[in-house]
Amino acid sequence: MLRVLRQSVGQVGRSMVFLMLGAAAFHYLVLLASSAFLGDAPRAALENAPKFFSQPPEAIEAFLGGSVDFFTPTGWVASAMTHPITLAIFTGAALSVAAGAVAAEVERGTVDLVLARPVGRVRFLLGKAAATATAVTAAEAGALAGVLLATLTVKRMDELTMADLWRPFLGSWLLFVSLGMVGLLLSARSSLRSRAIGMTVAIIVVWYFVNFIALLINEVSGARYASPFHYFRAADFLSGKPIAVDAVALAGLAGVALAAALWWFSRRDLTR
Amino acid sequence: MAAGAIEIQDLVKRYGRKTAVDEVSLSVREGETFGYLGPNGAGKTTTLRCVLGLIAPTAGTISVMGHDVRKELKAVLSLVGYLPGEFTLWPQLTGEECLEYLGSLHPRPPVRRGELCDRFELSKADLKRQVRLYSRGMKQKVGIIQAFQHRPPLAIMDEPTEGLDPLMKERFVALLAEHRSGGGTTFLSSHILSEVEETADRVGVIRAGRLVRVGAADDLTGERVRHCTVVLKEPLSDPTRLSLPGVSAFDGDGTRFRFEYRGDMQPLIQALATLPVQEFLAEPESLAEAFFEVYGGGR
Repeated sequence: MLRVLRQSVGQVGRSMVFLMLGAAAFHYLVLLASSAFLGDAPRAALENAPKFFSQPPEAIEAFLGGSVDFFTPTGWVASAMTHPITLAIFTGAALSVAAGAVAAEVERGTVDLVLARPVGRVRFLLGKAAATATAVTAAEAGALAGVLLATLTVKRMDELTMADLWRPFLGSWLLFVSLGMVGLLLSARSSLRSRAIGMTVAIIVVWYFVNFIALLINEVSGARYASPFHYFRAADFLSGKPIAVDAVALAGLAGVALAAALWWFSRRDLTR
Repeated sequence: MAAGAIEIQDLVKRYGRKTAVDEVSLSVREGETFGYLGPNGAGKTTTLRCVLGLIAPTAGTISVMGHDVRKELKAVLSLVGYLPGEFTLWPQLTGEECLEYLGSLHPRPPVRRGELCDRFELSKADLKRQVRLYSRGMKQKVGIIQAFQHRPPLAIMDEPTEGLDPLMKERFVALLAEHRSGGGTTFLSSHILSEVEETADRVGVIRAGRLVRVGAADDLTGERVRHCTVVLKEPLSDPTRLSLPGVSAFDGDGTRFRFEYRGDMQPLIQALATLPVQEFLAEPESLAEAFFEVYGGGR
């Protein structure tokens, strides 16, 4: 399993470094920009801020995961972590290994070389799952490094400590690992890399859209429970609210998707 | 020879309504090279992939060196060196990284890697290059090396010489001969008849998923048609003296006769002994001809 993990990570090593640097740079940039915009403003000015900032439109709130706070470092970090570009970076990290993990090897034929050796399908797929988690961890570590750099160099960011930050990064890690495992499941069933990636991206977009609509329209608010994005509310994770249920829900999704991937992959014919 | 390096019994593989392999039973003996012959799409690769557990049979059983493929796949695979058809590698890895990775996944150490790299002329500089920069032939060499580097008792090869130049083909044939002389077994699938003819002890011919013929490679050719030419010192007044059972496609001009002869050669030799023969030539048909005869199609 470790050899498969090492080889899988090695294959996407360069793109992982770029995603890591991108995540770090983007988080730092968002925090720097947020601080420059409002960090020095006197309290009275903040209280009299335009309504757009004090009470943003519901659509903007929904778009950024349910809560927007332009006035505190907690809000800035939450905005950075739920920004669509961040979602794209982390999704890219998760799918770079996961969605193509099996399908690409089947499509290329290299899976024959590996599985004609006494490796075992379960160990092979667990290696790919571990590589997926490693890719997400690398991207999250990059983002966390960007935030930690901001706590040292950006005004008011020193209000946050590592004790505040580990919770949202754990939540984000769980969310994207679970999305990665869904990608792995689709990959384990497919023989075409593009199809596996396309289907995974489509499912993630639908889940994001369901969460957005559920946050925006009260009548369908219950639908948010069907989306993994509901279980990662960065602001809640940062503010110290209980996160156990959310964490368990995301870990459960990852576990179920991985178990299903193992089940399918152990039984399927490896044909191109 | 001992029996049963590979025992396939009533193997059936269906994809939906399409039957890829239909009731195939065959036995590859330990220490022999078995050629599995058939055109593209006949079911050769499907059979091989069933042996390796890459696809599950719809029905039937397969055992390799006494291990049931379905129940003891790991034990089976630890005995096998496999070269897939349409062989590909990880394009971003170097040849050396590919061989190391594949070697690390096998319990048997890759003791022959260096020697095989030398034999197939893969230099250290070649091995340091990314596979995406390799020619078809170079990839195939890496494929052969990865299959044999850990000295497997059983080599399973699917179209092994594709992309190799004649010199490398010759070296591959020598490698197979060496493998056999060391007691190794080879199950070789190919649609290149000369390759099978040159290397196999026995041949199985598969057609539309069904095994239509199994026999010694020599038997498959030797018992079949021979192209005969007889040159006489003087014209033959009665050509019917050569109208023996087994003769066909008879053609002649008085002193030179051509015909095809099928069956035991003894009656023909006896008949020729009564004639003033200046020259006699009997060419056995090639495996290719036997193959096309089995398939019933023209070339």
